[in-house]
Amino acid sequence: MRGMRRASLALGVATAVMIGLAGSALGQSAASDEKITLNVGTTSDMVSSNVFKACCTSEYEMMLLNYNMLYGFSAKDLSPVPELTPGCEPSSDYMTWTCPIRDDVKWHDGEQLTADDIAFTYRFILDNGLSVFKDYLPYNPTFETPDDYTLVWKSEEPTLAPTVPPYIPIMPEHVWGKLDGKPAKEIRAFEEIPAVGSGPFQLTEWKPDQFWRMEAVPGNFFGTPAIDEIVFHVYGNDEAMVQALKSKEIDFAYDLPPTLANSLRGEEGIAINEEAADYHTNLAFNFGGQAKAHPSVYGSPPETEETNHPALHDHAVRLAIAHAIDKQALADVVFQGAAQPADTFISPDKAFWHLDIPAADEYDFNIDEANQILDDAAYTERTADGVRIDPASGEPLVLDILAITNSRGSVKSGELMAGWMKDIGIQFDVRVVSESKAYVEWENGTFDAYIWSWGGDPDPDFNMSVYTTAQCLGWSDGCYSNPTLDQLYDEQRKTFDRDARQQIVQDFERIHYEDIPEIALVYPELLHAYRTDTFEGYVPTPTNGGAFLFGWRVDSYMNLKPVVAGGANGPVSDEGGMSTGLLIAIGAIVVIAVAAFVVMGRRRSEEDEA
Amino acid sequence: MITTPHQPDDVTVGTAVAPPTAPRDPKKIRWARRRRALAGFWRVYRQSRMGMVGLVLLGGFILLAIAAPLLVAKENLGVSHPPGPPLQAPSLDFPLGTDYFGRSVLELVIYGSRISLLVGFAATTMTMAVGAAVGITGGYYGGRIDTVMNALTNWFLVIPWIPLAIVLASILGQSLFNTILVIGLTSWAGTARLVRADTLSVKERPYVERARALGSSNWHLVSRHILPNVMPVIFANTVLTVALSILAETTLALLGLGDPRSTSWGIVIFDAFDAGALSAHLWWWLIPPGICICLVTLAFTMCGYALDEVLNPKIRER
Amino acid sequence: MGSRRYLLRKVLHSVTTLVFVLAFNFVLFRAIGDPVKLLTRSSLHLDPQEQQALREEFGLGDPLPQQFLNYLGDTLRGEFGYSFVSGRPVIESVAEKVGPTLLLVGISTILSALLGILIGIKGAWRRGSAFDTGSLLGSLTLYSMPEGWLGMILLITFAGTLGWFPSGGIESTDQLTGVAHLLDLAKHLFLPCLTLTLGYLGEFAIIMRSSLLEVMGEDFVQTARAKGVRDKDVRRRHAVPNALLPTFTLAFYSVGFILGGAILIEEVFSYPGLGQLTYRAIDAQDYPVIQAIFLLSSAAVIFFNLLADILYGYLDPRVKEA
Repeated sequence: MRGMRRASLALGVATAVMIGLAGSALGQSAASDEKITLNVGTTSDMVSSNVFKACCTSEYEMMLLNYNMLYGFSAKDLSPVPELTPGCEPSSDYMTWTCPIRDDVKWHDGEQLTADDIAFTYRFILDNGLSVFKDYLPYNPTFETPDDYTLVWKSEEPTLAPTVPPYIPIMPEHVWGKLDGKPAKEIRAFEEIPAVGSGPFQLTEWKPDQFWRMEAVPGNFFGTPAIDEIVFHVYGNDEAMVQALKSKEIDFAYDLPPTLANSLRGEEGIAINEEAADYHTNLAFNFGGQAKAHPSVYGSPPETEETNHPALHDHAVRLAIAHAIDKQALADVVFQGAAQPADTFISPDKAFWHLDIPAADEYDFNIDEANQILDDAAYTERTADGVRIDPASGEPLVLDILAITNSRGSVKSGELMAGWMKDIGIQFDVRVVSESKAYVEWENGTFDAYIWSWGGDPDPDFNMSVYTTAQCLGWSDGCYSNPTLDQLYDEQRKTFDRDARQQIVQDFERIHYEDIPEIALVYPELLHAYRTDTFEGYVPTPTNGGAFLFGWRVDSYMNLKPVVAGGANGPVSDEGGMSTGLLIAIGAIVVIAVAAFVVMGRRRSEEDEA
Repeated sequence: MITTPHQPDDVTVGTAVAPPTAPRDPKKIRWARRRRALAGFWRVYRQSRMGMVGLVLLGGFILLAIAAPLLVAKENLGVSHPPGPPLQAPSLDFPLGTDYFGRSVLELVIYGSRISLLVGFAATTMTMAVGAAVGITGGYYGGRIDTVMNALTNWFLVIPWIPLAIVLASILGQSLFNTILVIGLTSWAGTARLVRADTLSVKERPYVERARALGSSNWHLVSRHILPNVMPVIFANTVLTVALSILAETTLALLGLGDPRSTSWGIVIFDAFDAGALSAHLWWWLIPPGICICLVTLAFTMCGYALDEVLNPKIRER
Repeated sequence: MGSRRYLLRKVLHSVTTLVFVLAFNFVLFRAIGDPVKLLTRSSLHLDPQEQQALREEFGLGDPLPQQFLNYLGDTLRGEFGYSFVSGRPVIESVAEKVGPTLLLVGISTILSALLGILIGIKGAWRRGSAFDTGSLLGSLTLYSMPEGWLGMILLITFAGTLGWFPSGGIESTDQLTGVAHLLDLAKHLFLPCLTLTLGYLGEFAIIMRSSLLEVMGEDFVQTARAKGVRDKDVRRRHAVPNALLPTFTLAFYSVGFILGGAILIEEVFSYPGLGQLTYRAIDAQDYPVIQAIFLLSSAAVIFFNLLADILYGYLDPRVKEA
């Protein structure tokens, strides 16, 4: 047994050495200061520090803090407000815009920001084919800088583009200029941390899947915040993030599922920030135009047979389905109350554009009415299981529904709907697929409907484009085609009077609601939790039911101050863990226990020999 | 992963010699011999406390699974007309509380036994069928066929199963059938290796050589001699594989790759987790399905190891 | 020499398996679907011309056999391509995450093997005793427990309710050095390690016990006992070393399973290792990353199997003569 003991000892030493080696490999050697740090938790990491790879909320928040844009978004209703420009003036034909630029903006490395940087950024995007921001620069614009602080935007067609406003971070020419003309892949791969921008905070450190750090920039034209740095922590799951919030490792937890958020209500020192939705979930139908629209660039031969259920072309069927969906139940059950039943596809937070369908015209949840509609439309014959049969094609109304796994609420909504549809004689075969598989399905048109969601900009143009014929196999997954809507879409693009445009947009919404290419289900809310006892001064944007963080402005970051009472806001190293002394003690006990076990065992067996 | 390198001979423990006046019908002799072998097995098995406990546990759960449709009304499993309000704490009506939709967790756990056992048995069947086929074919024929089969087996053994399962789930979509397929495809290699080793040893036995010398066809040899003698190993392995399949299904479910519309125990835990049961301390939702998985797996494992002791005289208690 | 041929055979076998793995890797990931489509929809908003350009960049326009040859060549050169999601070289992402996973899996494997062996030995030697029954039951129970669930329970109890440990990650964001840093690491590693260790401990204990029992039934042990050799020495010199062999080899063969188990554990504990990288990459269909990890973990398993085979051959002279 001596050999075993030696072996165990050796292994123990080896383990310790391994920890040490690995630890030193991971270790850093910077000392920690007495800083005021805001710790924010999220479950999705940045995809890249390169703005041209920006996809989702995390990197957009980094962009908002690290860079500036031509215009910002109003705190009241997200309409454009001055940022780098006090305001752009259009020519009478709306083809030339003149934008004076502030002269007191410095880059993080001390250089002066001029109109050339803005012109450079926009040209850079167009010349290098960086499509992530291209849509904000329509009609082949050219940019001139008659002097350091004037930008002239010339468009080939009349446009409102500069005041949309373009959600494009302005990049320093002296850093990015060298990438001009390089292949797109190389441009997108460029990462430089600290990232040179002009915003009130600078990205100084990023450990992928762990955290990224942004430090306040002294003397920034936005002002001087009370916090010195923000650390965004990445968590693998919501539970861990909530634990961290409870143990004060973080001050703000972004985007929690409703049950989790609800479980925090009433917790001491924690409050919930309810952010009004800026997107809607939908049941979108497939109209089967994919075959005809397959352009040759995709390389696949066009299919000859339509892959969707023919009955979907019948408005009566879609109308019946609309009446068989209990949107309130979806909001209450699937989203635990953190959602509003939806009507149109433009969410109500875009108050100026949203059309509120009068209650009398809404499709209320009415199984009897749904059944009546189908009976009247001659879907009276049924299969043995009670599923109605389409008289035109002879096929039973069995619909292939895609539920997307990582789309919140999709699968549960599908399950609920399947139950309701059964009551009206339609069978929903809900197939659970990953997002990637869903893309394959919509591309080939091999589905009847899916349950997904659409987000969008404050400007409704993008959301409307989804329902135009031209977007088939682009943004239009179901290849819905309605000439009236196509016409209205083109018209609003050319209308520069805001009120006149509003009228057109709302006409579009009304016709969309009546024709039912999709059914907007709910407007989900985003729920965040934050500590009330560490920092105070969160500012919602927009003012009514807006987000504190990860929104459209950086007001919260600029305004937050540590809570003074009992103020333990210094170096936040409170991990909620045990004191190291206790840890050592426990470790020692464990080691002694194991040793005792081995020793005792041996001794007893020796006694046995006697 | 218990290996059983030794098998009893054709004539087994504690059997009396057959009376000489028995009819010479070979089929009847074979069946009589088998019955006696089984009785012998049972006698030894019965001695194992672990085996008996496992058997009883197993029996209990199987009964539960069979009785589930009688205990749980079908409508209560559907989500659009749930029996109660959602996310309730335990009460008289709902001893384990309710889930996201308002269904009774107790009923979900009861019915979940059916799904979990179904997936376990179905995946195991697939694993066994493929594994045994590959193992016997390779072991019996030898030569190039064996090299190919062996290579295939080794190579499936080496592929880490979870990434493979994740990829398959992504390609195939998430349904119970696909879950079964995925588990079967990623588990057969262990069985194949075991069966092949056993086939090799059985192949060398005198009566097999005799049969071959007498000119028996391959099919006859395999079905009459090889297969029945490899059966005990396959059987013991099957029992253990069911345990592993149930655990595998749980892992897939917890990773979010299971069929979210089913109600296996793994999915019940996943739903609980998804609904924030951990930080809301809804232990009544989280713990029972986990314990059930544990007990069922334990039951199969205990039976499997007891079987192992039966088949391997060397480790039996003296 | 017999042993040299044995070694050569094993190495050759490993190499052929590796080649199969490469081929399988390639085929499997082509079957997943078109990554360019996924990319364009969720992150890059590319129009058809740019999609085509991207496709050419990634070599997806070439005929399949050509793509395979490119893949082989790149792999041999150590080029695993660029992540579809982040655009960084795959080898970078993998290199960043390998350390934490090695740490976690390494410590857990060693601990579970060690403890399992000790418990198994004691149990087998004192067969039928309270310790044996108790430890067997305990081992079987641990073996039957779903690890992910165990991890969740441990997380919620010790990190959540009791607050003794951090709720995830590998280190705090404060830049600690030296001993403080090591202790910080230990604190973060404790629960995931505990979960993985408990998860595999049972299996090792059971295997060790079984193989020791089997060996104890062997003739040479009976002979030694009959000759009056002391129990302790019988155990140490004869029984245990022979029984240790299957357990040792099991430890090596288990590497693959433990790596797989680490995926779920890393997700539950937000531990930034290969497991987490794998899961995220698959979710995003980032298939250069997935391919690389598949390959690397298969290679690791092949390597450890080879090691086990060699060790087995070295320690068990019977095998070499076969």
